[in-house]
Amino acid sequence: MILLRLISWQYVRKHLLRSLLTIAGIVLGVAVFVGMHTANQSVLTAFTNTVDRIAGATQLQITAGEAGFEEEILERVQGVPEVRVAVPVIEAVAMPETRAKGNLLILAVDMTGDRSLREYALEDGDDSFIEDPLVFLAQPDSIMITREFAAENGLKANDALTLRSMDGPKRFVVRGIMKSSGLTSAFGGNLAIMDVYAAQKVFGRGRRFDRIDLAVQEGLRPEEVGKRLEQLLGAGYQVESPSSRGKQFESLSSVYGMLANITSLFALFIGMFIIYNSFAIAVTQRRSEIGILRALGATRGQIQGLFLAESAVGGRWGRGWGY
Amino acid sequence: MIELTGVTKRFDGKKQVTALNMVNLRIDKGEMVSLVGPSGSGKSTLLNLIGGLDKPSTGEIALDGAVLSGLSDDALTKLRRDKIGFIFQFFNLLPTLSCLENVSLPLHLRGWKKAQIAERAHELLTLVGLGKRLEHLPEELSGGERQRVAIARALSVYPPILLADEPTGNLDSATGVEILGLIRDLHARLQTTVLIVTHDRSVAENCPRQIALKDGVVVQDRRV
Ligand SMILES: Nc1ncnc2c1ncn2[C@@H]1O[C@H](COP(=O)(O)OP(=O)(O)OP(=O)(O)O)[C@@H](O)[C@H]1O
Ligand SMILES: [Mg+2]
Repeated sequence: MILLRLISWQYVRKHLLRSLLTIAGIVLGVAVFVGMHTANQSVLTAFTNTVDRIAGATQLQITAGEAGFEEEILERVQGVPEVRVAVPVIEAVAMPETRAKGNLLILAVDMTGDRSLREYALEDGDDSFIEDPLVFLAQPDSIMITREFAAENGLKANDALTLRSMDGPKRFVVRGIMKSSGLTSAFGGNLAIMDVYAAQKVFGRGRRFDRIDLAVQEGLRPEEVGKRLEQLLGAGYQVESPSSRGKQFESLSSVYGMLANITSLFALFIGMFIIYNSFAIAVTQRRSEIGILRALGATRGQIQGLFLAESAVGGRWGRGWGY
Repeated sequence: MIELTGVTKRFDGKKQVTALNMVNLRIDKGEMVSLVGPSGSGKSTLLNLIGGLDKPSTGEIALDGAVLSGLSDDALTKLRRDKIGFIFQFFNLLPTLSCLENVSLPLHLRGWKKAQIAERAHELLTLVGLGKRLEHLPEELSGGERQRVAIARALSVYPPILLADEPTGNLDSATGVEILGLIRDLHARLQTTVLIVTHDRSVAENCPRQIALKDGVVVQDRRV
């Protein structure tokens, strides 16, 4: 549009500072909104990721209160045709007798079957993480720690590590180190993996498990399989999805989400105000220009078009920078 | 032809001002008319009403038979665009545009082709003696030169009606005479209807018809 070139561009050239301020206003408005929104999104994503990572590909979890399960229950669950894979889990929290602070969550899993549910990124390729897999499984004191935890405490393979648990101090030997990704990043590295059968022995669980994690056959709905399992197992057993187990997380994240939305709205409001103001100022300052154009025979449409085109151009610049 | 019947214009402010009071006036095509009167007598107001920039409180204004109050906003703009050239009391050039661009502007607004625009703008700037200052910005020109650009702009569309509000008011008398000569020349060549507001006696006396306003009322209307 010739008018735009003739007037607006000249105007921008002549009033570089004012134009820059107008654009800066738009930049700020968009940036505040986009920034708030992105920040909120990433915090929410982090929350959700934590829940997801611990659960892995687990679709349902079976619990039975403090006492846990007999091994026989695991076999029954594994025998249900709708269940693709079911693995036993023992969770224990222990305090390392080391320099580093913080508790260690020990996740004891079936080392042979659990890889289909959870992703452990292992150092030095998948198979060399454990000096000798047979030794790892054969020795109940074998434990796998994260690279961060190893670095923090100056641990390397085959070093001893004493952990205080509910049943007193336990001595372990580091026989594997995990890369920090997937599951391990959920706890900032304070996670250790050991064999579930070894854990039964070390933590005095007898022949019981804390939990069964399972995935259903392709194409089936977890909720329906869950109902079926509840019927099968009878009272005293809860079959739930990992996300409903992570209720605390969820309610926390929904409260946070609401708060985040309110701040986003505020930011949007401020952003709109800044943008509106920038243009209101620009239009007021150019009222005489508009008057002259009208007197020279510019229709309302032509002038509106001019300002719309201008705001479109300014807006595009501003938005580009705001991002 | 310009025809005013019973035109009154009031401004509502803290105190109501009657800028024009029951003005009846008829200006025929091709006339050259001067409009004199003390400051605040309503001269600029009259020009603005005729040019359709403002609306009368009561009464009617017709241009070539078209009653302005009966027109939509867009139709009024088109009429103004096709029939009227304005020279403002203060030059009202767009400061960011060069002389050439200022003169081209009304032609752009009428959707002319680029080549035609360039040709016409050159022609008129040459006519007002600024053929060599095409690319200059208004601030780089003297007052007289600016007024000449404003005249070239007003005439760029060959308007049938030229409304000039003190075109020589901000100029020294020699330049004023020059500008007036220019307007007379164009009036003669294009049979433009000219209405000039002026404080300058000699300018007024150079027009074949002289109208005097006082307190918003026509107090004298004579032809020589
Ligand atoms: N927009 C307005 N609002 C209020 N009053 C106005 C407005 N425009 C003009 N007036 C008043 O109307 C009267 C006539 O004004 P106008 O500008 O027509 O005078 P003028 O004859 O052109 O004077 P000058 O020779 O000083 O230019 C003045 O009293 C003025 O104060
Ligand atoms: Mg005036």
